Amino acid sequence: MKVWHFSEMAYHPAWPELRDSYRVVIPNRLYDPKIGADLYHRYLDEWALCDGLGINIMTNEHHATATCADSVCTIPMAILARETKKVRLLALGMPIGNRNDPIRVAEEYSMLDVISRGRIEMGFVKGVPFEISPANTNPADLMERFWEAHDLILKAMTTHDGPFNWEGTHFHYRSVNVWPRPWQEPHPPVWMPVGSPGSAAEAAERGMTIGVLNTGWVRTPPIFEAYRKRAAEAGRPATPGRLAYMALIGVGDSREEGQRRADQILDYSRTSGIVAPQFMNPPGYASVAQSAQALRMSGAGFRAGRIQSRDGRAIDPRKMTVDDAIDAGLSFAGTPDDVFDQLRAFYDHVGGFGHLLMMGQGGLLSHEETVANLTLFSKEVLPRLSELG
Amino acid sequence: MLVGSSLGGWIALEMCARSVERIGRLALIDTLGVKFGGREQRDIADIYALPTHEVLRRTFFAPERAAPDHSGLDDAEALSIASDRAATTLYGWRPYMHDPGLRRWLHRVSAPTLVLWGQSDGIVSPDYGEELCRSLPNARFELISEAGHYPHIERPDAVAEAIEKFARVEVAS
Repeated sequence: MKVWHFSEMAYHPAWPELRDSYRVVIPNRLYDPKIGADLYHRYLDEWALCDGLGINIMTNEHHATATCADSVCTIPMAILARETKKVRLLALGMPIGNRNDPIRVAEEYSMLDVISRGRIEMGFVKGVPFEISPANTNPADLMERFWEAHDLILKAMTTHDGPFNWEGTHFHYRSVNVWPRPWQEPHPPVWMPVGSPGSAAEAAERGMTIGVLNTGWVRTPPIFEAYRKRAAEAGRPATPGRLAYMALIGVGDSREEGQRRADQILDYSRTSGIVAPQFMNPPGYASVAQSAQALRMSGAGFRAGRIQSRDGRAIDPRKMTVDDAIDAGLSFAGTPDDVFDQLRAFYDHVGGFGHLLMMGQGGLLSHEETVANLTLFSKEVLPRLSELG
Repeated sequence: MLVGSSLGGWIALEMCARSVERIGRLALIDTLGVKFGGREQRDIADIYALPTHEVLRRTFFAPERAAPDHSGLDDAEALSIASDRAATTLYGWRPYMHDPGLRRWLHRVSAPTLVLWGQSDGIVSPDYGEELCRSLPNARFELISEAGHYPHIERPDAVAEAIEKFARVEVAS
């Protein structure tokens, strides 16, 4: 199993000033570039440390928010492509339905792949609904744009006798000719985060690796099952290496220390969903059936109930405790033995997966604590993962 | 006679800008679709960025009486509304609820036109309505009191009477 360290590079100093929304409408006068620079450097140092720990690196991006100051996922990757030498670099990823220029995406990923000498894994993401407003892209045909951009990017990265012509529904180029070509053949591995069995099946048809985030004990099994079933039908690989699961991980020399670290990381879950309700479901983003249901629940209901306990009880993410998160399968925390046992139980419950996306830093977890967390994980948990099969 | 309200008024204007050959008269109710202000000025309230209570306050003169209650909808009704909203987004998301080129074609909307406006419309203001009226070659402006963006919902009789009168009497240009 491959492990990937993920942090949202939160700008947490603004959090005490925020109440009803941590996203979209918060003015950037709440951001101090001097404090922000220190934060960027420490988060990058933590990722760079992973090169020696055998933990791969995952970045992501969000916009107009204090929960994630990584607004361009390829910028930390560009720095780390040179600072690291061994581990792989995953962006999960690029919101290609929200980007106006898919060719620019192909260029960024190709250049990164060459600089890193073939260590890039490229994620394409639909993006959460509250990304629509900062991007001002049309939510009603978002997935149409997503798939056209996906097809164009892959064609641009695999065509070596260009230029070629593209006159699609959403994108028009008379001369596509991406330089450099990527290092990996035919192109870097492609990932997509999914949150439903339907999306998992779409990814399976194309042989993409899926990353599931915040789906826990209850929602993960049907998603993985849908992937395995559709991949088998489509003649695509349904190996564990196509399945990734994200968990918030706090490991310590004592159970108390590990859980305290997880508790601080959990501030990610407690803050990231706090969004003014009008941005939660722009019409057209969700299916008509989901929106009809939300309409009767007066508004923002379609993302409600996403976090569930093992026995199916809804958990309010704002008030989630470490015990709640462990029960829900969102967090593995405690001593190295605790973390391994919880991980193994989850692994068996969902039928296995090949990638653990480890949120090893979140919220206010300090640099020293993050380094200790990653180092202990690398030393005491990582070597045992081969036992999982 | 062609009657259009809000987004429907925009569609009516697009039709008439192409040809009024088969249009006798035009009645526009709290219509949007035209950009008058500068690039940093919002002519049309952003219903997707405002809190629900603020959208209702801007939409209705008396939201407590006129705002729809969706909690009791059956499946078909809820699906129909959700589908309409998705379609509105498809056409009106960007540019937001207007066609940047429409203003320069308004001179072609030469049919006799009644521009009706809810006096308390906070989505597109009566000032916007008056500017629209001035931009049309043969139009008259009329306010409906105690009404917001949908006067035909809040003051159906007043709107019906105004349109009926307009249908009978020649409008002076």
